[in-house]
Amino acid sequence: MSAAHGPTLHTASPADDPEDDRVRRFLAGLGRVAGRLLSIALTLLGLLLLTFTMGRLLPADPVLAVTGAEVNKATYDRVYAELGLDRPLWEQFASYVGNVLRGDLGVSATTGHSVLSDLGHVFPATFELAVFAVITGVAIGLPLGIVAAVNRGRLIDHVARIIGLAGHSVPIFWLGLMALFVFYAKLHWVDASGRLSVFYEGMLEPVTGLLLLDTAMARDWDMFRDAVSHIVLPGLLLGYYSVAYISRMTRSFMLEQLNQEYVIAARAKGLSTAQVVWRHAFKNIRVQLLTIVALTLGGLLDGAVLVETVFGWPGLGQYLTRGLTMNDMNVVMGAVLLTGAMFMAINLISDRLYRILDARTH
Amino acid sequence: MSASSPAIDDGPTRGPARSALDAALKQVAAGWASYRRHPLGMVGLALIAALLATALLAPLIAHVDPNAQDLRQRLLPPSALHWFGTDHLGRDVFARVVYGARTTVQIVALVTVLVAPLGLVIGTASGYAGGLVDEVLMRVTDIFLSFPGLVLALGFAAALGPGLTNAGIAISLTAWPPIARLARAETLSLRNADFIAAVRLQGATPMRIVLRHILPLCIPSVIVRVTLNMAGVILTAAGLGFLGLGAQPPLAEWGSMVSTGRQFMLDSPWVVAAPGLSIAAISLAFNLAGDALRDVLDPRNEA
Amino acid sequence: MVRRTLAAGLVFGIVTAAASTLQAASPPNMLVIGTDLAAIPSLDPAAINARTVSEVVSNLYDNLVQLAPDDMQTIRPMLAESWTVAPDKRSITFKLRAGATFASGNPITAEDAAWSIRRVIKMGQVGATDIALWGYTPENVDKFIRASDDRTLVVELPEPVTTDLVIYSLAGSSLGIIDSKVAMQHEKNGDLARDWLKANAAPSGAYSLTQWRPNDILICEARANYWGGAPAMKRVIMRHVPESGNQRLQLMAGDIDVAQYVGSGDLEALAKEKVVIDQVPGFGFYYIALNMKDPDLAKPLVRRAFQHVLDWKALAQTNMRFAGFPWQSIIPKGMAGAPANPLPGYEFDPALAKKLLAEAGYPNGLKKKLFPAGPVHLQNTEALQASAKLAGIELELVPGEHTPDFRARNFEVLMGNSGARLPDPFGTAVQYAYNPDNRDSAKLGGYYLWRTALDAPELTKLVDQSKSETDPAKRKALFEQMDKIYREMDPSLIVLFQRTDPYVLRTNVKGYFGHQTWSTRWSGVTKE
Repeated sequence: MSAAHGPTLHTASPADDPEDDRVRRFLAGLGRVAGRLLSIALTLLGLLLLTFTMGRLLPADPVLAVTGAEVNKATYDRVYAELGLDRPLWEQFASYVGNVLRGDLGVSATTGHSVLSDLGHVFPATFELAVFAVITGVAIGLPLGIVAAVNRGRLIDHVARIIGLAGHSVPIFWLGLMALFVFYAKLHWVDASGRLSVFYEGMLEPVTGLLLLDTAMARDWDMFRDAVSHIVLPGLLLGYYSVAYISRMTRSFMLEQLNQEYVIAARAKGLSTAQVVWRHAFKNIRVQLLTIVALTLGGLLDGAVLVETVFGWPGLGQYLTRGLTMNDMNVVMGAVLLTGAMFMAINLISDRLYRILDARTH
Repeated sequence: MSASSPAIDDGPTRGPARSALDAALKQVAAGWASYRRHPLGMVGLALIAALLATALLAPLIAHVDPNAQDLRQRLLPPSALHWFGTDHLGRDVFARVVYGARTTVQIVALVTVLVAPLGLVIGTASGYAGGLVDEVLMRVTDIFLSFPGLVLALGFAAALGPGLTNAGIAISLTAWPPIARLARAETLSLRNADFIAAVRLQGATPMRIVLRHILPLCIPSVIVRVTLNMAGVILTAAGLGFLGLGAQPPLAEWGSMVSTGRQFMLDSPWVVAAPGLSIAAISLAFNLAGDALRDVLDPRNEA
Repeated sequence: MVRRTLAAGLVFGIVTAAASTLQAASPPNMLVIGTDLAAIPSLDPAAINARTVSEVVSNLYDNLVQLAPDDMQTIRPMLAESWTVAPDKRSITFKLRAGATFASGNPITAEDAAWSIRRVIKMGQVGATDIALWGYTPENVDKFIRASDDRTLVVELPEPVTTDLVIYSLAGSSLGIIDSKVAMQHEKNGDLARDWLKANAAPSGAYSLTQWRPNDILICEARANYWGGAPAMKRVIMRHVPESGNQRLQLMAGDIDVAQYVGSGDLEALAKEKVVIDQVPGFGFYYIALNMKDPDLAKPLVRRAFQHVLDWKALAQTNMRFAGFPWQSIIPKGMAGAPANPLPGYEFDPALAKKLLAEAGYPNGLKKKLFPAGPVHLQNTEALQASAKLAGIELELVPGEHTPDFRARNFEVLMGNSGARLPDPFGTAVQYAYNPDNRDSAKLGGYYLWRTALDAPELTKLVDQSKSETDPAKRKALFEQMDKIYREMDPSLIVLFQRTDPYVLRTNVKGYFGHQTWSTRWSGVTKE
């Protein structure tokens, strides 16, 4: 293309030749995209290096992970060679990267299934829990932050702050145990352990893997209620955990808006606080809040590890911790990799969203 | 959002490093005056002081050996003899909670000692050197940042094996990137300052400039940042303990006390109540202190 | 403001919706078992030997013969309606039941039986542990085990072995009869359907597999065309409930009918409730293992000191109250050769232990690493850690899953438990008193004596003798002799308790009998 155009490409002014300008912008865009992709690829490679190192450091014998404990020496040596454990580390890493790119995360020594298919089962459970939690977190954290900002320095501000901080301070595994004790063991308000009562197991073909969605689509409201009564406690707790962050950021963004001249002007015109907050200030912080929500979703993966353990929620967190306690190397590597990749993706998406929406509002 | 504190922002413009340090000290004094006006922050500070005192004076506060077992005295409810009851092995829960403060302080100290220098060195080196070094170091930082802290800490704790020191190392490996980012930002703003240029003209090597002139100026904001993260560190440590990857038995550690206690929780709630509340209190204390600190340092939030 | 009200309303709505669904008890034709489904990498009979998965496999596959849960000594017919032992005692001929079918509808033939047994030997995985003891190898098994017609199976013995032992081993869960035609449709690269049978089944038993999600749930459906008649429980669900407290609460609420892994604390509380706690004695023990490769632990006096450092009487009343009973012999209680009462045995005496250590050359005590075989043994190791300290033994506890380390001789001191599926003293003797090759390279991880690196040629010879001895009185004498030698040699495995597996049942569940060899079958279960 550049050969055909020859030197004109460098001399012609963009304004003179709109066609050429478009090409150039396209190329520049392409370059930016390529740079971005390269940067993502590098980070992913780093991620793989990290999980590979972690896997090799684990006190698990990769051979036994394949053969099981009962193995004779001949089989052991054969698998040892098959896995390439006699080759230099960088070659092993290269073949690991190759396997991951082909979607081969190995086989779990404890479930006997491929790690990829296991992840396909456990991830929707965690995703559903995290989404439920984010909705809860926003439902509580957003109003809390706004109220705190509007009433800055007053008692209500301090109370809001303590409510938020408490959620971020109380160890979630402990709060979970206490909640189980009260609401399940003593009051019988909710169900516990797992995502559905045993009675309903196997009665629904998973479509999305998100039970609330699947049961609603099947219009099986009894099962839907059952799913709700299982998710409500872990979901609310995990949501509460995120309240501190959401409310603090909301308060901070809101304060910034409330100090702006247009707000002061609007107030002077006689608009009420509520009107100012909803019509003007809130509109302006929506984009910022969106990124916060996305980041919260990523951060919840942390809390999910503990909540899932306490509530027997068959998700990614429980899968990972079981892999760790049982020295299931492939499970640990696969689950950590997925978590890192998810986290990265969420950051990227929220970053892009911010740019797009921000450009639109301004 | 408070990537650079006001204490440092105006430091370099005044010239030589010494006066910048003086100014920083003055700012700290002014900050303290402002901090004192935060009642919740003071509560947090008091709780932290209480934790330190408990850790230091543990043998004086609890008269019983926290590891002394008596299987025939197991799961006793709180009484005058055992204030917080006894656990499943007949150990005094109060003594274990008190000694657990020591474990917490140890882990906090270990993480601080590991994270601050690591973050400082990587951040300042990255910021001062720029170019390829910066690119590589920041890419590494990004990779570590692309994990939720607990997940990464879990992986490393499992790889390193159980034990308090290993847990501390695992947590540190996940906690340094924000510090490095901060130190890099500080370094970038200092790199072209006049007094650095003056030192450079005198023929100082880059190593010397970074270590002697830039790094010390980054310390205050790094300390602030480490404090802000401390609640997270404590919760991660407790989470590791809860999942059985923290301190080794019989060492009293709050997270693992909750973990082993949950089997007996339905009938003997005290075995998990006391350690759980302790974690909550101390983590809240650091959060309150951090929140007040943030208000002091972030002009946007000043009343 | 409107949005805030909406949000608050949403949260309120969810909570009340949740509150209104109180769990209904499980239906009358469905059995729900709360259990631990972790670490079940395969449902292939040839690849299993653990407790929970044995129960699953025993309901998917019928054996040639079976042992009733209340009488472990009498062999009863199952797929084989009769059998005869040749006069020279070197072969057994089984006559198969007519009309029995697999879930696929295929008739169950002697050829299927031969294929299933040969397959276990050829695969050489944990399922082969028992039957391989009789001298079968992948090379000779085709010759020794064969179908002479559709309903006649001939099992020849490569070496002289008590035929009862052979028949016992055929009742074990790993020797279930697989639908060879269905399985072979899924064979890949000559793997004998190993890959497919991991997560699928070709059942001959009363149940077929409906759903299997590792670490989560296993659902079985009753077979209407089962030769023994359709079972009363149309559906059996095994639910992974890893937390003991949760199992207890769900049992009380009626969500589950049987709880299999309830911890000691919760069992103590359940003992006061209206439930049935069935303590099923197992053929295995709780022990302290000492690695002889460690120069300190190789000294007999040091090992003798370890016999006196655990306060097992206190443990028996607390943590071990439901998990076992004090038993300090390698022959399980009530079996041929078992002592009438092996107690008091190793008295807890830290002062004596200290004295023994001093005599052994450790006046200032000893420092060792202590491993629990798995997380369930953590509390026992904590107790040992504290009581050993009184004797001057400093034990550094390393929590985690250490069974692989144990098998690889990679430990110092370890606490764990064992189990066996042979209802004969030989089953435990071969684990605790048999070590044909003590070299590292032998990799005989199946034998506990090898794991602890104790070379005991005399005991090994006696165990071999007991395998082929047919005279009951002489066998009994052999086991008594083994027990005596073992007791006097300061063994590397200090046996302290015989295991019991506590099954907690709701009172309306009838006919669920926890099986001593873990072959608990659901076909006779009813609910009132």
